[in-house]
Amino acid sequence: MGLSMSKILEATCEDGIVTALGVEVQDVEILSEGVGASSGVLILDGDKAYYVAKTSPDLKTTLEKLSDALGSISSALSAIDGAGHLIAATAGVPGPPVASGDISSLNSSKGELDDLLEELK
Amino acid sequence: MRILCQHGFHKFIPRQPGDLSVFASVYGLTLVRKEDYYTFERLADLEKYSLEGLAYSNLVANSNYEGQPWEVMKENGFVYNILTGLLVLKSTIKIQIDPPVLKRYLLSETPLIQAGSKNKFSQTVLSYDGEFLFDTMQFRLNGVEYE
Repeated sequence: MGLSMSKILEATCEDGIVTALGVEVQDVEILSEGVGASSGVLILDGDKAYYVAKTSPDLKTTLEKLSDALGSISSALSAIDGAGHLIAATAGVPGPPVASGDISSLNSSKGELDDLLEELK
Repeated sequence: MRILCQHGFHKFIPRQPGDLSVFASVYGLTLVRKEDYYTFERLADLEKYSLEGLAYSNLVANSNYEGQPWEVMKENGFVYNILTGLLVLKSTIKIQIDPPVLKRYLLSETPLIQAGSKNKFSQTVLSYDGEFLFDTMQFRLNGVEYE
C-alpha cells in the first residue's frame, strides 16, 4: 500500500461496517478487529480501501482500569496490613506491618500508570 | 493549441498567448486554469477520489477509487458531456463519428470530440490528443485511444 498519493478520510466502524462521509463503504479491508464500535480513518489508494481504527481510546481505557485496580488492591492491602494481628497468644501484642514494601511498590506502579495516562498521545 | 482528452476529461494547453481566448470566444466556451492546463469549470472542481454511493460532481459514484480526476472518471464510467456541461455515464453517449483520414492524421469536423462516441467500427473513443489549427480553424487528431 503506497501512501504517498492516498486519500485519507475520517471514518467509523461498527459490526464490521465502515462509514465515511455518510455512506457505507463497500469492499473495504478493516485493518483491526472491527468488532467494537470505533472511530478511525479510511484510506483510499487506487482501487483499494482500508480502514484503520484509532486505538488510543482503547489504550486509555485500559490504563485507567489498571490504575484503578492497582489503587483498590493497594488500599485493601493497607487496611489488612495496618489492622495488626497477634504474633503470639501469650504476648498479646500486634505484629508490625509486613507488606508495606509491596504496597509501596503497588503505589509506585500506579503513579507511573497515571503519569502515562497524562502523557498519552 | 493542444487539446487533450483523457477518459472524457478535457485539457487545453495554449501554444501562443491569445490562443485560449480566441478559441473560447469562437466556440462559446468557459475555460478555467487548473495546474498547467485549462479545462471546463466542472472538471476543474473534481475530487481526486470517489466513494461508491457518494456524490461525484452531478452523479453518484459507483466505485471506490483514488487517483487523478480522469482516472476516477474512467473507473466510474463517467465522461464529460460537452453540450450539457455535466458528467454523464459513458454508456449514454449515442454519437457516431467518422473523422476522415488526411495524410497521416485524422481531421475532426468539430473542434472537440465527445468522449464515448463510437466510430464506424463501433469502437468507443475514450481519449484523444490533437492540435487545434488556428489558420484553418480545424482540429487535427494526432492520436485516438479506443476503449
